[in-house]
Amino acid sequence: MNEFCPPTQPNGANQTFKVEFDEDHPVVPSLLKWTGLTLLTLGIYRFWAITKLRRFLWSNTQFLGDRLRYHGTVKELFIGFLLALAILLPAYLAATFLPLFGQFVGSIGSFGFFSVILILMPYVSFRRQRYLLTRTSWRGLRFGMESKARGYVWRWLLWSFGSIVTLGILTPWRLAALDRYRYEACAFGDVRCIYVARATDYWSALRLPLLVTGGLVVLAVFLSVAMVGVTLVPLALMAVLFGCFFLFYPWVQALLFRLRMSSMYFGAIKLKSDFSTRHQYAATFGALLTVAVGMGCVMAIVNTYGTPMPSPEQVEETGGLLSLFMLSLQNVLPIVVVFYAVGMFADMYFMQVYLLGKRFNSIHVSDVDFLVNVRSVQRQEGVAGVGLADALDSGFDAI
Amino acid sequence: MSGHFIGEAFYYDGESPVRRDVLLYQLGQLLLVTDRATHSELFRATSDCFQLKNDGHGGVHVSFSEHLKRGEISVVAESTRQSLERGFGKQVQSLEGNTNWSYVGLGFGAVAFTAAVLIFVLPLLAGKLVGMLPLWVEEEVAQHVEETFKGTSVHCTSPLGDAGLNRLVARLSHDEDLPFPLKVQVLKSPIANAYALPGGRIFILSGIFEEVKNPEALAGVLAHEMGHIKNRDSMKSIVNAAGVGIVVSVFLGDLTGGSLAAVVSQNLLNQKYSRDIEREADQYAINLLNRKKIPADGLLAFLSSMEEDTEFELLSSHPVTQERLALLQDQGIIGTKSNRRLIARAQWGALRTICD
Repeated sequence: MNEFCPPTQPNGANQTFKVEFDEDHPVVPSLLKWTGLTLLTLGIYRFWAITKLRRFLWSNTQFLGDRLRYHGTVKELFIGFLLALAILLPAYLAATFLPLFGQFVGSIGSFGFFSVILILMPYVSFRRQRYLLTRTSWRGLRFGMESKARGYVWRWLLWSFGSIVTLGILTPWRLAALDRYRYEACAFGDVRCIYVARATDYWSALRLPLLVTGGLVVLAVFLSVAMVGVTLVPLALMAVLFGCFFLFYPWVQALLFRLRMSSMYFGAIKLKSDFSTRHQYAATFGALLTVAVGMGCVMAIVNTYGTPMPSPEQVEETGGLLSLFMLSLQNVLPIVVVFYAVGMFADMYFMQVYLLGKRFNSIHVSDVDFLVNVRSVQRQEGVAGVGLADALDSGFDAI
Repeated sequence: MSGHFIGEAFYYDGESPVRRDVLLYQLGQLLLVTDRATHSELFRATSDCFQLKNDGHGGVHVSFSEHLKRGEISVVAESTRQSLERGFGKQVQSLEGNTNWSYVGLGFGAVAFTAAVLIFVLPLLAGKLVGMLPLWVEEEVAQHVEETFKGTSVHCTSPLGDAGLNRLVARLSHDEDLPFPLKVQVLKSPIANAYALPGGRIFILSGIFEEVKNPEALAGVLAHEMGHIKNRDSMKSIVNAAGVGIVVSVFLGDLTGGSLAAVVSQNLLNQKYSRDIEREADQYAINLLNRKKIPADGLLAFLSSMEEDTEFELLSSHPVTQERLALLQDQGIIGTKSNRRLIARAQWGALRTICD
């Protein structure tokens, strides 16, 4: 290779470079516009909204002076959505109508639906990552993902079952095995990722929240036995576990993100993240608070000004199905629509722009000299994954 | 290097992630790309082989036709961008994913079409669909709906009251070709209303005994509900509501959420029928009462009293109109005494107070 930018320095091997996400770029007006257009078009615009948002996120991210590029298209999202419909609608119909035929048939329907969702969850999250990576380029080279999604699905099912049976003791091994499969599938050009975190690393990364939870459990059991009696123990345990889950979830997410990033190598290139836990908290609770405040406002407005049912005259005038349609429009849809809109805005602003920005900005890369060894490979990814993932709303995992 | 200088740019060859500083020249309709350090020509491309695409940050990407395997050029400087645009007479294309409003319009048309289908086609379809539905299916559905509908309500029962109700029902349904045997129950409620559910279930809310003054009036209310049973209206409206719910969920992309369940259960509790469906049930009721030689005065009085009471009208799912009253007056037997008592006085008394 003739030249390399930035120029290689004698101690280049030790120099690290930051991934830079421009957090000052004003984005709220765009997000409001996209949310509004999505509502006005009864949801159709969301394919554009998602694509535009990703393009913004990608192009706003620089490394060594070059921006990421997003190559996904609205058409691909839409095809993926149709595929999702084809798979989910039959399962959905079965789960809705079979319970009408009695408990036994209903439980078969629910079991079928549950199974479909259970298999789809890991499949979709893997395929989404694969879609996003294959649609991402930097310096003209595409990222990619090599391994098969079905390998991830059966590992996910087995390890999840094992974790549940052992009351969670296997969880660090589960995380290590699944993350390893997932991240070692990643590639930039022809260089595969090497993932070095082992179960013991997960144990030590998560030891603090685990210890605090354990301590609180012991304390709760002790206090409830001492003050009321054994009868209170199950309730106290539930309260503590639920509370810990709710309060520590962002903490654990931040710990896992740091561990994952810091365990990845591309050839000699090493990644490291100093992502701050408080940013994860800010994103999670910011989104929750926004949705709560938004829903509170809607409830207040509906309670004050809403007409809970159309008047009989209206029903008479408009005729049967129209009146039924009006009924669902007046009673159910405002809540669903506002929940959808506020949820969409909160997700885009907090969980994507804010969180992804902070996460990208936390990544340091060393030994970038190795980049001269990377070569392109031809690969293309089908569109099923991301449409399914967006339909199932399985969360936003760009990395 | 011959040609007209355009400006500086970065070049990525698409083979390795290396950025090269290049200089761009224009030679007629040729774009010349030269290495900035060595001034050697890297390649040249004709004007029809490349496109300018907005990079979203004020610059442009020069992307070459796929088969050339030339990678891409990134132009940051405003002046270079303008020279490229003017020199080659090219428009900067927006990036993929920009709103194509014709597609949005198409989607909107699809929504409007679906709404039309919902409002006009689905009722017809539901009618046909329910007509094809085997009775045992509706019976299965009915058992579930009955439980859901009753919820925590108290089912009122007493030996004498039940005997009266059964006698009334038997008299009304004798020799009538109904799809299901009737199962009539009284639920404790301050609301004056009655519901026909799938599978021949009729629920009388006990508030109705405040309004109906005699067994003939109750027979009239029951006859109306039997009209709904005869036409399987409840089942049709459930199929309708499910259709609406499914379409709403699909448009919102809410494939796992509960908007469908919400719409269906909402419909169960607030069953409302169109004027046509109510008129048909009314017509059936009048014919039935006439066949059974039951005077319609009681029903007329009951409907009139509900007409006056606006509060009841709001709560009622059978809104009364002058048209319905006129129909009764026109076709029903009015002003004649029943030739025999519908049910014994003691049974009627027990039935009216069955929930007390």
